[in-house]
Amino acid sequence: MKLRKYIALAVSQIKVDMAYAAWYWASMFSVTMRLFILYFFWQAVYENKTEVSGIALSTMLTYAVLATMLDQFRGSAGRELAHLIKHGGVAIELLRPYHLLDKLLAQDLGAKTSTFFRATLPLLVIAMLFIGVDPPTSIEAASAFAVSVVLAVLLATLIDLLVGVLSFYTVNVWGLSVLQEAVITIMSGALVPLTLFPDWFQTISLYLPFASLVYVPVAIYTGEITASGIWPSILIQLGWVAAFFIFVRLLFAYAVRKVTVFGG
Amino acid sequence: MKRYAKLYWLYAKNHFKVMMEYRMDFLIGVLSVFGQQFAALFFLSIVFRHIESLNGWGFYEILFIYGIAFLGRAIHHIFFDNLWTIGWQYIRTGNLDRILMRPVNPLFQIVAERVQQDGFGQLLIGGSVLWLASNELGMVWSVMDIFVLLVMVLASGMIYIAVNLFFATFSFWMIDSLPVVFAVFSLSDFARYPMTIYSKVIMFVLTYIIPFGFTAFYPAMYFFEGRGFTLFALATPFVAALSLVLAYRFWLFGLRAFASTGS
Repeated sequence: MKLRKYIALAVSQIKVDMAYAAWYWASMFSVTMRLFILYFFWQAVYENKTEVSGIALSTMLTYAVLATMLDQFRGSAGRELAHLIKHGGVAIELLRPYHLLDKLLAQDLGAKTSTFFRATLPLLVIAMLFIGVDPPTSIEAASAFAVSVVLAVLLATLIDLLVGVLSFYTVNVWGLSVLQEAVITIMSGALVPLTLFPDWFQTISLYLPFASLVYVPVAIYTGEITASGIWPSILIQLGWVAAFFIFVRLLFAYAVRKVTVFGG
Repeated sequence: MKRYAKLYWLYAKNHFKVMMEYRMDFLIGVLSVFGQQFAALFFLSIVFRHIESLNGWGFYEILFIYGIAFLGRAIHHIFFDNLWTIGWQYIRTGNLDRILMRPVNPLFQIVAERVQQDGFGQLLIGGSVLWLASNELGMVWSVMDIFVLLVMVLASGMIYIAVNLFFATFSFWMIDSLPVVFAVFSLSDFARYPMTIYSKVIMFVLTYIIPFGFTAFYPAMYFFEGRGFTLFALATPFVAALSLVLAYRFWLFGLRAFASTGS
């Protein structure tokens, strides 16, 4: 009789552990399905063609796979921050001896590193087996790709934090973050290489940070951005990272002042 | 029945009061759904700048399929969004016990406790896409066709609801089955494109196991001439009804299992 409650506790712990595992498998499954949809979609697109806008099928599939992977690295730091703000935890966080934004950034990068090994690598293997991923065009492209990916991930987290800070001002953070996701999905090149877009759109995206999130690193890998274009592109990425880093901090400082005024 | 209608009205009124308090958030919500759908359409239109047809399907034919999917999804999104939250908002928190105490169908209460206003954006965009596509395709609508369209859209919504309910029911055993629901729902994205582009296995799964094929592609085939699949198109309402009955039975089974452990 006494044992029963302890058995119940053990079972409940199993359920908690299972919940985490379930999320992992669910997202793996979901991304794999997305990859399959992309595969069949692009196969159908190339049914009677050898190239679309100068891009061959295998390059397009490589692009689609890498872009989908990179797209998984959109942050959760903003949501975390929004949660802290909404539930008041931010007040305690502000008292602690670190900068809250830096803490969230560090945690987020840690989470993404773990995602990379736990999810991205296995998914890449799946993609290589079933869809086909071209090798990088050159050693230079491969190393530049690595640098560019790190910058892209940093920038994604910073943009996410910016949206998180905005939740000082609105309650519907969910809506805001979905809006942000939609904009990024369209403008970052997560769906198709930006070179397929109309010219005016490409011109606009030159002046926006979103291309740096997905298009730049992946296009470096597939060789769409050629050797001479690599370093300027990475410099632009670097510029956006710096700009967002400073901007988020300023906005945060301003918002925090406002909160204190309200006696929070 | 009348009592339930009245109850739902009371719930909804309550909800709209809250909504009017946060008008800005309502706008953001609708906009966000807009953006989400727009991304999908944008992707398609960009690709179609470079090709004439996808596996024999034209741009507006695919738009038409999209439109039906959006509308069905909107019904699910607006009125049955709370099905997503059964695990973490009702079972984990013990809220379900509160609901079981009342002399009203528990599923009704869960569903009625939320009207997801964001879905209206979906309704709007689905309607416009459908209208645009049918215009471009030169479709002529008789009264009968419009009636069939309504039935099809309703059936599409019912399938989304049934699938959601069926997999949310697993929460009775695993506390929160949201990951499972999420994973299964990622299959619904397949349904946005003509199913002929997929392999036989995928078509089979989406037709006979998780019937997402009936949320968009098959019902759309009723309105296209000479594309085949007529039998599947006509089966749509029946598939929807069957799915819903199965899902509801499973829910009742889960509820009994839950109540009898007394947890």
